[in-house]
Amino acid sequence: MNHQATWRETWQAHPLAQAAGRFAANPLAMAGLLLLLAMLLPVTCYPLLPGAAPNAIDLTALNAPPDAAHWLGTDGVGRDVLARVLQGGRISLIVASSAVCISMLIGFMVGAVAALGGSVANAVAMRVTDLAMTLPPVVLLLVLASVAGQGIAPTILVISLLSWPVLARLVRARLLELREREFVIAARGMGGGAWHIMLRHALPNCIDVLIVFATLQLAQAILAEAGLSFLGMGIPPPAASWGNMLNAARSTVVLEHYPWQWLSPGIALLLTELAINFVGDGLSAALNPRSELG
Amino acid sequence: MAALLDIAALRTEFATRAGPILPVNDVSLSVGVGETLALVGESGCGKSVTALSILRLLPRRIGRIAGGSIRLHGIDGDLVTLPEDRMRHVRGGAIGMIFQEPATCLNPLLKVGEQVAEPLRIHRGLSHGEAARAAEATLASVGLPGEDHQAGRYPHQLSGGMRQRAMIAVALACHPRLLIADEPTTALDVTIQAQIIELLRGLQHELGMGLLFITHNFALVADLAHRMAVMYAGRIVEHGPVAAVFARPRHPYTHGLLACMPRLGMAHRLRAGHQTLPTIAGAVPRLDALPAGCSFAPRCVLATDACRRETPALAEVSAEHAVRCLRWSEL
Amino acid sequence: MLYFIARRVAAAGLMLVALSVLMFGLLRLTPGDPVSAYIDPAVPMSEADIAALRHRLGLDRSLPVQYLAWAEAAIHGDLGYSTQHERAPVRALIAERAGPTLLLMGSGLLLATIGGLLFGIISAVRANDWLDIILASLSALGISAPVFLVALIGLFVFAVRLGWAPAGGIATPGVPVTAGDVLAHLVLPAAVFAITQMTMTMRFVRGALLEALGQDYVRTARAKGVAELSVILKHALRNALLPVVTLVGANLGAAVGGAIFIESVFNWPGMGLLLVNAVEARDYPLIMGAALVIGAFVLIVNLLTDLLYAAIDPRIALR
Repeated sequence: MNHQATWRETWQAHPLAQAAGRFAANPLAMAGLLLLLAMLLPVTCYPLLPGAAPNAIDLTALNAPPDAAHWLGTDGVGRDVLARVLQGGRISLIVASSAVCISMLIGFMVGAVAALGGSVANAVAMRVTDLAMTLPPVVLLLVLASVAGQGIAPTILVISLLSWPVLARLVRARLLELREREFVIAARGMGGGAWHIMLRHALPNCIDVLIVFATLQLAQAILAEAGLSFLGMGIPPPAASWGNMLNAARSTVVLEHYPWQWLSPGIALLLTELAINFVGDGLSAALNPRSELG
Repeated sequence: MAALLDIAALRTEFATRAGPILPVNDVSLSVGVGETLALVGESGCGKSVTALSILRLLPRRIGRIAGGSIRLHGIDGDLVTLPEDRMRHVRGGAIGMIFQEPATCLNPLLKVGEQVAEPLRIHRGLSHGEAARAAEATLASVGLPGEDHQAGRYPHQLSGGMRQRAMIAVALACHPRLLIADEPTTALDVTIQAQIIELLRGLQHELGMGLLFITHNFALVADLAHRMAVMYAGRIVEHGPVAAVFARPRHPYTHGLLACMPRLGMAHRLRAGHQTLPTIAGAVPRLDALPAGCSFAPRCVLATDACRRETPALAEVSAEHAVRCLRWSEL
Repeated sequence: MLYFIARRVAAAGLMLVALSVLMFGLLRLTPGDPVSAYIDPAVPMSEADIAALRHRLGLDRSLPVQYLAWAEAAIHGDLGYSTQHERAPVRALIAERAGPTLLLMGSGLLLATIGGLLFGIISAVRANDWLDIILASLSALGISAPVFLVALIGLFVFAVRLGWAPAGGIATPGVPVTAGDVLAHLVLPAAVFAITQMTMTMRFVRGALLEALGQDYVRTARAKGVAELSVILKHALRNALLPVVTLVGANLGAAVGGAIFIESVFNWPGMGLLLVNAVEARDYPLIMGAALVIGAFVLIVNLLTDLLYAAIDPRIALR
């Protein structure tokens, strides 16, 4: 064994690269990834297209079924449904990803404090986490939304307060495991302070937990925003969101006579959720392989 | 001695990512009535898979018997091809099996007495009451007397030795003709080991059973078995009467294993110039990457080019002693 | 065992107190004068009466005292008066709406458990077989589909287009209420609810049963000659299902959420719809009161399922 490992070989031996390989070999995960890209591309690029106007009113075509001019039909005030679905996707995505980022921050900090901060910190952090998980999620969302109000910023805040406890527990468990491992003890022996340990040692070893969490929580956050908007909170009209478009179906007239108005955002929501869940499951399997016999 | 169990050229195949492997490769052995055959070898050599193959308890989608035949005295037909419903009656009825870990092998939610009574109801058609009484008698015969009410206890309430006795009771409830014991004492304390071995010996005499005893502990082989078979990488490399094999092992692997045991006569062997190694260098080969020729060749100090070219066939040392080595006569 | 019970009850009690503190804190964050929530509209009150009420609620003293006063009132059932519903007392509104919700959730969860068990067992026994793959795909769909979407589709297909079930509500309006009428209105929402909850149970049963079937004691049972059906049902399933008791408690949070959406789609007059309408109207006394009651309910059910689990697992019970 005398040759220097080439750069490529070093990269290929890295655990993340190996996980990426396993992901690529998983047909369900790759299908989810393709579906996700197929949904994300139009949604994110939409505003760049000329003629994109989700709030443009076409008074000649109120509640029109799908046709050549409006591929997914129009709604009660003449707005193009396809345009609103794409716009709604953008808003849902922005809200959900912001909420996930914030909850990841909160969750990581609380989990790290609980694991590395001593027994009092651990007890307090865990009780707070338990409390946050006591109320059923939808109830918590509604209660917080009633206090915070409607709109993009309040909704982001409310959703981020929902998901951090799960991550806090995962991070805490992972860090407790790592705390006893040699490299942490060595880092402390080297004189590393708390911040140094957290950033250089703790964080990199939680990456796989964070990646899987972020993906699955994104799916949950999109659902949470849609649910809130559907129930009348969340994102208020005239802005488009998949949830508030589905809200229209609470009227029997819309439900019965104009199904394209609510089926379109509904199916978009379903496909996005499916895609993210497949990708999330694939990531989880790729990062935590179990050996099997055939 | 009439053959109770006769296994001929058994091959068991497992499906793996890397392709099919043969943990049991052309294995032939036999157990006589009232006789104890010890099946020895290191972990991973295929001993347990052989035992599971006899009862066709291989993992569903992964393992299958690829060839050979298994015959049990008193059963009409080859166990390998027996229809499943008849095979089910062989299990626990004609053949009993005990496993290594009594803690995990007994159902934690059922009382011990119920687990012993179950095969009695299935194979002997006894009623619940009759089976319960018979179970109590069986438990008493393995050293768990009725006065202590062990039958009404759950497995986690018993000590390790008592759990193993309970498992023996479960296996012997229907007085099988053959008992397969897969490392029954490995998980137990040494003092308990001795008790269990005594128990097995006693029961074997009493019931006139054949015993297939799987172990990697040569001391137990010497104590309990009449004949022994040594397995390596899925093949039988030597078999014969225990006394003969211990006195003069003819396969370098057996030789090495026995030399790892501290025993009288070791000084003699060293002086006689045999290359006895206190350890065997190297490791057991992976079944998906077996070397060409003799599987033991990479670790064998006596290996020659001929050994690395062809897999040796079993050669007769005497009427009852056979070995799979090209250079056996030189040992 | 007694020690275990005492510890669990104490823990649940502590959580309940913490929950009430949280609710109180959120309530104080909302705009409006706290005293107005407690003024009974039927009783005319003078300035002196209102001042006395303020004092009783501790509003002229520190926050912790206010909490204790609020908690004391809550324990006695006084959660204030709603700002809507003609200012009816919160307690009365909750009591009125609790029944329909329990009916819906009870029947739905029963169906979900039966279905989940059935399909979970089938997919475990036929693991990795075409049937399992179909069921697994359906469950992936089930987990990804939002409850309200499934509810809307169910309402659209079965009530509106096919006309097999009434399109919402708990009873036909204008006609005297009969049990049969309520049942007819219950079928569709309960069925939809069951389908959305079944997925979790099915996945859990499949996983737990597969794990049990891989255990050593199952191999021992087969080695004894036990018939396959008996191996599955008597040996493996019993062990696999032990934790299912706690599954009910663990999934209750998600089930409550699902019930809220089902009630709003089907116009089912339960606690969920009450809460949703209260949130839309910013009726804070009602919001916090309902949330507190729901939270307490979930805590108590979880406590009971934990105790039940400890009672039936011989490994814990006999310690």
